[in-house]
Amino acid sequence: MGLNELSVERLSILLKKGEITPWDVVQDLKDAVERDRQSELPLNAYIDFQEEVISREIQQYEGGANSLYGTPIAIKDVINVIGTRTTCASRILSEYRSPYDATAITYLRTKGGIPAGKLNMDEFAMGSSNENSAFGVVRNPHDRRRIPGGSSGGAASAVAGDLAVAALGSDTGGSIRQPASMCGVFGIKPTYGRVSRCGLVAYASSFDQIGPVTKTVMDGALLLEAISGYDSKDSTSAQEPVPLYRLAVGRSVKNMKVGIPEEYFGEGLDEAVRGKVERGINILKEAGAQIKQIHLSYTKYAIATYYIIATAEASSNLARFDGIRYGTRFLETEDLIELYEENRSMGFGAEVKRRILLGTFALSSGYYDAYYLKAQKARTLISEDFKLAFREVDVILTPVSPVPAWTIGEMMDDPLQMYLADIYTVPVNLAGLPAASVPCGTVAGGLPVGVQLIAGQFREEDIFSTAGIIEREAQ
Amino acid sequence: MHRETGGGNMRIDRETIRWVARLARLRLSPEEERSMESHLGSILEYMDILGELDLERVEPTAHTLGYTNRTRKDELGQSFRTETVALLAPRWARDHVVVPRVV
Repeated sequence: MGLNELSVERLSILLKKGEITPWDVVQDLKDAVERDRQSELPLNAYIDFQEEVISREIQQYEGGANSLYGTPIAIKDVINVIGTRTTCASRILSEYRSPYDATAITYLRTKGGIPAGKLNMDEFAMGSSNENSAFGVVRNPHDRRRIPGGSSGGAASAVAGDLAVAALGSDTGGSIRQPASMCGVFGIKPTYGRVSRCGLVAYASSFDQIGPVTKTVMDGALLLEAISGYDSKDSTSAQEPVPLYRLAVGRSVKNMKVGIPEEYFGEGLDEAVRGKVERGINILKEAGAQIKQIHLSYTKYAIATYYIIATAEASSNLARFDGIRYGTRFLETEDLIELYEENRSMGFGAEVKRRILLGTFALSSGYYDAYYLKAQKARTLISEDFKLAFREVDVILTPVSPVPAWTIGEMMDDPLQMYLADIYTVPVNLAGLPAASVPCGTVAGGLPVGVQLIAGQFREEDIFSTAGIIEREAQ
Repeated sequence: MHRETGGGNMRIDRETIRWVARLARLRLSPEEERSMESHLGSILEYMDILGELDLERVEPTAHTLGYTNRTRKDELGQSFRTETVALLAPRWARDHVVVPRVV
């Protein structure tokens, strides 16, 4: 068994004992990445996996007492790592080199994590299939003709395919949970404010969060502990203490109340996926949890609400990419407006343009009240739905995606259909809650299905306890 | 170009696409205009679903943690060196980013 196939938990013990070095792990990763590159349908999970960059990282690693002891962690290419390219899978940033570390990376280093490789993704984290990348589509290791999910498709594919030990992704509307579900790995989006957004290239600032994508629930806990905590450089960063999440993994769920929202099990949910989610419910029930039917009655408004607010924020955030201060300037012109237009048009892909246009429209004079303001009000109702629910239950269990991984190209001509597939993940971002996807078996064709566990604000421990039980029993 | 609307039920047309593209500093090819018109049309039509909600007395949510105006002290801190910023800019001369003539 190669070291690339081991968990963070296992590797950090071997590294601590000195039985292996970070370099041994990177060698095995490198061989695995190389083997994959030569296969008929490569996963294409990395944008950059450069030996000299990673070797420099290892040299800089200072060792000492920490929790990860030099474990290499792959990073979604939307997170700044000093000295690496941070492309966001976009042409417009194809030459951009990060002059600083994101705070999550700084914290990861302090805990002994070594950034190793930059992962493919949907351009600027916009997409649910990883087909919107200027660096090519990413494939699902369980069926290489299928998508890995998105936008952290590279992260999920690399971890599931043993091309990474673990990864950091980002989640704005399901971008960690949905690919984790489709690739059969664990992924958690923390409470909004739990992990600093400083150095995470912004898509929709009121939703974006960095989080781990890992082989096991315990690894997710170890990584989340490492990257969480207050940061004065992010004005939305929370001052809440960071618990030892590892202690919660697999903790007894006896008498814990688990809510099942009827609205998440209606029309559109694939029967085989439903079967797996029901299995997840039964596992918790058998472990002593109390299962309660609940209602989240505004769920059907979540997609419209999310896509108005997210695109509005995106249109504003992406205004900075103009080919002036950084990024690529494809063309020189005499006129400034023309320079902006030419470079942005050449630099952005179709989905990014679509979302910028949608957001600009929603914010434009005459339409602001009809779209943006209305969506912000609907957001209040959706958040309140969750607040009421968490008065009755500790955790909410739902599907992650209504369908397993679809075939590459299948939904590309119908963006609305692709947006609608985010129905179970976006409400969580609207409410700023933590949520994870934990593997719960496979359906026809060996395609993995995850179960989503949602907890109250800063109650990640409730997710780790329930996820640990499902992980143990679903195998 | 500017339109008034009571909200919802609007069809987006080619002219609106061009107006929004101009605001967003994007230049679209005729083919892109056609596909944006069709895709954004169906997406906006779907978003009319929010019209079903009675939102009159509902406060908007911009942010879930409720933090407001968290500012830092106005103190000198570390920042990027000029050379670092210069390396990032597509064009740079004499300590400045070079842009087309504006005035």
